[in-house]
Amino acid sequence: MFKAGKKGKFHLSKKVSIAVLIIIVLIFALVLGIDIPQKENNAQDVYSLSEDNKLIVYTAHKPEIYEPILQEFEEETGIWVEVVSGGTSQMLELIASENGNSGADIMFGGGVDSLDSYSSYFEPYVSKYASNLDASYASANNAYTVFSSLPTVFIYNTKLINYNERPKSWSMLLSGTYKGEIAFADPCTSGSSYTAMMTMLQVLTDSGESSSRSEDASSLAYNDLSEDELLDLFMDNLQGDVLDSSTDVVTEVIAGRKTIGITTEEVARKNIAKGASIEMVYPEDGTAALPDGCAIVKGARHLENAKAFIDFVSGRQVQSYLSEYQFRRSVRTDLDTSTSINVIIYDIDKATAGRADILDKWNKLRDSFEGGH
Amino acid sequence: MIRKSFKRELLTAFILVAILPLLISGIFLIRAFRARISQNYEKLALSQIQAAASELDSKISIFKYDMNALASDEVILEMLGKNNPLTGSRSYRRLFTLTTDLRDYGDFTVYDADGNSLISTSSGDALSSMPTYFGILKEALDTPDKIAIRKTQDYEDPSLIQMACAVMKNRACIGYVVASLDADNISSILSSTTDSSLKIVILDEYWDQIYSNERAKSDNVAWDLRNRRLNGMDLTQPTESGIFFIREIGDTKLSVVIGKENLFTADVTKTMARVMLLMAAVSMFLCLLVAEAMSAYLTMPIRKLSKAMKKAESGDLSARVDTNRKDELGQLGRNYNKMAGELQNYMELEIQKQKELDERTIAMMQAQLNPHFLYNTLDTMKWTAKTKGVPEIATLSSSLAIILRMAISGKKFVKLEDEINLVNYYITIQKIRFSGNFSFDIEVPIELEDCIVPKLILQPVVENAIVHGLRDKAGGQVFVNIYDNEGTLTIEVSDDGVGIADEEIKRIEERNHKQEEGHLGLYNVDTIIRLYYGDDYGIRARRLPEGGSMITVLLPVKRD
Repeated sequence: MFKAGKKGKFHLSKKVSIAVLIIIVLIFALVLGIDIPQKENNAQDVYSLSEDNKLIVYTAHKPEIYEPILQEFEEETGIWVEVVSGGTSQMLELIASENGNSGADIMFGGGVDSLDSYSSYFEPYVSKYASNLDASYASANNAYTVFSSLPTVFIYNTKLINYNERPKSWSMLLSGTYKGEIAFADPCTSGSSYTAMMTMLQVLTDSGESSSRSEDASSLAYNDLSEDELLDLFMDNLQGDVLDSSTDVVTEVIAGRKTIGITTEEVARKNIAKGASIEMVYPEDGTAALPDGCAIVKGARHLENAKAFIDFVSGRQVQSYLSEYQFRRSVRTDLDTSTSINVIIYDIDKATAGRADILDKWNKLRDSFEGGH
Repeated sequence: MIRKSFKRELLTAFILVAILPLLISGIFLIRAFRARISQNYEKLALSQIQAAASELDSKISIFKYDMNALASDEVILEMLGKNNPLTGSRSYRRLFTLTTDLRDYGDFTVYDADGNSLISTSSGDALSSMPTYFGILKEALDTPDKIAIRKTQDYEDPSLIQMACAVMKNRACIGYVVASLDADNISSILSSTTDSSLKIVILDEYWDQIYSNERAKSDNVAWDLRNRRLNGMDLTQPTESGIFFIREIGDTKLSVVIGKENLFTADVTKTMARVMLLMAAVSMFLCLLVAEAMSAYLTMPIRKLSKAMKKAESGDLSARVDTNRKDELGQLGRNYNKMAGELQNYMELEIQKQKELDERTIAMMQAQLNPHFLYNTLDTMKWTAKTKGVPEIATLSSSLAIILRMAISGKKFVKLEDEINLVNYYITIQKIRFSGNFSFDIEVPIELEDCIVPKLILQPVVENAIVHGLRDKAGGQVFVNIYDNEGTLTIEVSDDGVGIADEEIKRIEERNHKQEEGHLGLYNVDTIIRLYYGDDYGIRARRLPEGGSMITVLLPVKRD
């Protein structure tokens, strides 16, 4: 064994040598596994949040819309809001896929036509202020609550045309006066564009029922045209030039590459407020003010908080704020913050049901226009 | 074989001494170093965040002070008190005066009771109005004695923090004072207590991001933190992006967050470990080299010593260890050489002694045949006999005297003819004693007469033949025949008496030198011859077939 007692006597057996080598190897392993010592959790409780104080919102709105509102909600109620944002269809699809096991409590935003198609995923709820809300587009089964309304409007570049030359109606739009000068986004990709197109078709085929009289004599001529013919006429007036996204519409008009644009009131107001040289026109023959909405997701884990949210966004404060500061139109009937316009009631069912067909026709028209003509 | 285990022991010892302490101290050093540095690092961060938080807090206090001053200022109150407030230069001057100390840190705006802005220190596009039913002004209105602080709500507004207080008169609100700070303002407040290597974030009560500096923005710190809080994750734990510290800013319900890069990333740790392992490997290699060299150095002299010892084992004591080392092993070698030398000397001495002893024994034996006084007495006897006229006595004593003279002479060797003479005198005596009852004859070639033989070797043999051989036989014969048998001087003494007994022959052949009375002479002669010439020579005895015995004395033929 290992004796180092007496001076000079030193003998290591084989076993000890091996033992020493093993120890060395172990220490090597130790060295490789050097790690920072873990800190203890102190004051962890200070930062914990109880579930009662949370709300998870999936939103299709832009930050300039939802941030102030959510911030106000937090301040008012003390509830912490977790936000997931994205496009309308993206968010709705997400909720659908999560199917009851959803992270979301609220779907905030999205046109009522879209919300309607997903109504099976929503928990029915009637807002505290339902009686003060415009019932034109109320959900049949209270799947959603309307939030703000977005009328389709025309915009025109004030440098390129003057007030008298402005497009006053849909029929005027199709008259050929603005051939090739119309900025319009592809309805396949833009929800608001699709709505605008359906609005146009509805207005022009319904013009016999509309209450106001158009000054343009040729408007009556469109009564007899079928939808397909109207589409064709529209494409003709566009000269086949369709923009990729709705944001391009206002950009093109402001830049002067197009004279006229079809967009929503919010976009128009915002840009006008920024000082762009454009003006807004509400089509005299009627336009749809399709609202967006807010819904409680089925299986929401924070149901009470979700209900409080719906009440909040349909309350006077938020509705006034969005009207005065966010360039939107309130859905409340007791605020006269917005100018009145000639509205038609948009046929949601028709728009939803016939969507695939119409878009198909649209694409064919586009292709044929690019090909020949 | 031995060498291998010695090397292993050396190597193990070296490794124990070199690598183990290296590794152990290395590990402890690294751990202690890291713990220490982490500690200091954290301490620094904590002091930084403390400083940042209190700096922000004190600035906000100054804001509050200025705002309160504005809200109670008579000029401002007068302006707001009017139904249609006029915003003249007087009110502007007052505004600027009361807020000079915060010129670089924010802007002040006074709003009327409906939220329309009246005067402002901002040069850019100040908000023309703010809602009073929504947001910070609502809060200011609801709590008129407090100053509300919030993240700026309007998306288009470049400011990040707003502070608002309601201007009250007679318990009615007549306007609002709002201070706003943008990113640059906040950066300059923070610049005195923090540096750009940190990630700095300011959060509101609900941990929405108010402010993020460049680094924090690029790592999305605010979003990450809020996410972690919402999901109940521990915030103090270091993550890949670093380690975070959070402090509330006074009682504003806002918080400031400081993030620092991890000092000891997995990378750094791995590098340190690798360096240490490299050093250990180098050390191990060195140990191997040195162990190899050392064991060679130490075992070589041992091998040399082994070789020398082997030689000595087989009888060659002249083998020496060749060494000029100055250490213990050299010492060992030199000691061995000395020992071998001493041993050699000792051996030679012993051989020498033995030789001397033998010679003395021979001398002693021969001295037994040397009675000095007898010789003198005999001489007296001879003369007395002669004068008294008894001639036989004279013959006896003179013969005996001559015999004794030879015996005393001291010479160890004599010529053969002298020896024969002596025998003849002896016979003369014996003839008188035995009245001529026997006959004696010697035959020797003349050329052998000058051979050198040891003194008194013939007489005892002849005596033996007469006394034992003839023994009371009348008319016996003794015959001595001397010849050269191939270099061996052969002296045959034969008698025709009783034959020599077998046991006698045996005793002679076996060289049994027990003192046997009466045969002392034969044995002495045999011993003397053998001592001088070796065992090949000496006495031989046999019985003669025709009766009688023959004693043969063998010697080497030697001449002077």
